[in-house]
Amino acid sequence: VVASACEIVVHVGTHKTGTTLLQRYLTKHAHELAERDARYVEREEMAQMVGWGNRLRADPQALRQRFDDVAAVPGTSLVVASHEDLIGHPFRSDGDGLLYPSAAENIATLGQALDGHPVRLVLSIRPQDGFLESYYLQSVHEGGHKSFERWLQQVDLDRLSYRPLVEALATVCGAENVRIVDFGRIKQGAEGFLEYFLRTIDPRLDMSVEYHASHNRSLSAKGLQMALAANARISTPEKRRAMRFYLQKHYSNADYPRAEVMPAELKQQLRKRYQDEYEQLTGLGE
Amino acid sequence: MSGRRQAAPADLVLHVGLPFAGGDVLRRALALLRPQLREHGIAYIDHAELAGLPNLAGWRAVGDGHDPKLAARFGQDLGALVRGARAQCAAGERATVVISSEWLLGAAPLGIADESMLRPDAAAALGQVLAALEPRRARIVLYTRRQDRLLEHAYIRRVMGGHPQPPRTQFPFRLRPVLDLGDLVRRIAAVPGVADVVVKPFELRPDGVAAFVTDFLHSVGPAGLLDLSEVSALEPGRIYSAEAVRVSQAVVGHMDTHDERIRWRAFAVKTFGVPNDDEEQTRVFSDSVRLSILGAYRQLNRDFFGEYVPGVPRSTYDGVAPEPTAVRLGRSVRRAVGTARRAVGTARRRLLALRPGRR
Repeated sequence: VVASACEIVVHVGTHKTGTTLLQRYLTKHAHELAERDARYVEREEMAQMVGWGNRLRADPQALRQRFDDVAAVPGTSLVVASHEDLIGHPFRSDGDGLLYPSAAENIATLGQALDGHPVRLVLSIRPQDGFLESYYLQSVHEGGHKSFERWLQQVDLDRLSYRPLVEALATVCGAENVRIVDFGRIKQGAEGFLEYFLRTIDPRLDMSVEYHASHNRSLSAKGLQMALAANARISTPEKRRAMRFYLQKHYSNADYPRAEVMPAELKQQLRKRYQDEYEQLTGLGE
Repeated sequence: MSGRRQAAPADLVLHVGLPFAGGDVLRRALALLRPQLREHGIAYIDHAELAGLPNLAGWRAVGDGHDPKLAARFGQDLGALVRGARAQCAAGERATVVISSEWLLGAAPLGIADESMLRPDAAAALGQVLAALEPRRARIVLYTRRQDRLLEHAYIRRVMGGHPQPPRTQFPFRLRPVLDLGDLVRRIAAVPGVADVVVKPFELRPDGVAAFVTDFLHSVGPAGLLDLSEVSALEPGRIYSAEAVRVSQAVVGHMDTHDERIRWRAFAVKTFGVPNDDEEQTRVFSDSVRLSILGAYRQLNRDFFGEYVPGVPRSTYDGVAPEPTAVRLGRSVRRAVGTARRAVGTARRRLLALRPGRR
């Protein structure tokens, strides 16, 4: 293994924490990265080498080679990659209710692909209640038709800690090189959040963000009801996709009351259960 | 496909439906053929032009004579429309006028209005038109459809209009034999001024748009004289598939406004629609529902087909016997040939458009 001075920063998720916003920004602003001696490995490219972690485990060499190639481009001192599927599916029927059950194995394999470079790993997170709601809505958005109560049966509410993820990341790069992004900062607006996200990835990414991304709208309560009723009756993925865009365009929370899928009592229970841990973890990103 | 009582050329030909019986594609074809038709002394007026007249949609009022002023104005405006169409023909006043609209029988959508009788205002509406135009010889061309398909399409339309309830709720009359095709033909034939009625069961139509249009033109005159290459390239219209209906049943109940439903219908036909010659994909009723409807109409249909289209197989009107494989394969091949023809026609039109001197 040839040691390299070029640093590699990989953002590994979690899902529903502004990942698309970050990735679109990095794709569109390659020149600003280049001005800072940084290069971005695009999400689509990562997807081919990572999949949901399965491709990475099958062939870690492919990702390693790609990182080496990008790091070898003259004038590059920082390589940035972001792909939230790298840590696998958040919930799996055979995952024993654990959050991201494949993450430890996938992250260890990622470590092999990064060997020889100074590494920093970034994890973006949001409070567990918001994460569950948002991920459920996403599953409906993509064609699911289970009620929230039924969907929640696969989740062990006592095993939603992000700490195992952080520990797995620390195993690869040392706790001092793990960074946590608090999605709660999205309340500042997309531009403020992106600036915070970029600086957390690396202080050199000190761009002043002016970004007018199309907002990734969520389904309203009405849109959610329509999706749940319709999805099971749609025959092909293409048609489900068309339906998804239709509902997103006409029945988003921009035009109708937002979907409140989680009972307030459960929300409070989750906050109480995980709030201290969340504050401790996000304190790492300060 | 043949009808009874076809006779001498008419100076007025009214294509009156029924709904769901090829009216849309026929009108698109006739609109394309309009210049050629004019050269052959035929002035074509379609549904869209009639829709510009006052109160066509309020036909019941006009037909019943509740509003004589409205009826008089309708007559004047229709007369002016026909004179204008004739003026664009070389034959002028001698031109044959062809009008196509389901509204000529007093209503277009089939449904609740037909609860006690198929097209209850047919005679009144036709009578108004003929009184206004005073043709020398008026021919009525009626495409019929089997009652199970009429009800099925009417049901689809109701669902897409925001009523997802099952057919037994929306069409409690579905098993009463009120949609009597023979009775409708007799009522039309009895209207003063009607010289003959050409009856064409849609189930027996020839395959392909060009053949269908040619068959219609036999009732008008110049069937063999027109160049139908552009017509051959016409895409069949898209209609709601059974899947569109299933999805709509799930969502339309959540919609609050008319605009939402209009927007949904456009999306549904684009996303879940199928070509309207795809009979299989538009079947919403189960076989048992279909059979019970046809059972209710068995005797009426036997009499009707026996009188107007003798010799057709009973399965045409009597049941849902599965088609032999050879017939299904034959239809698939014909459909593929039709698609290829349309593609060639489109390419030809594009090439013609590229010729020097054409814009």
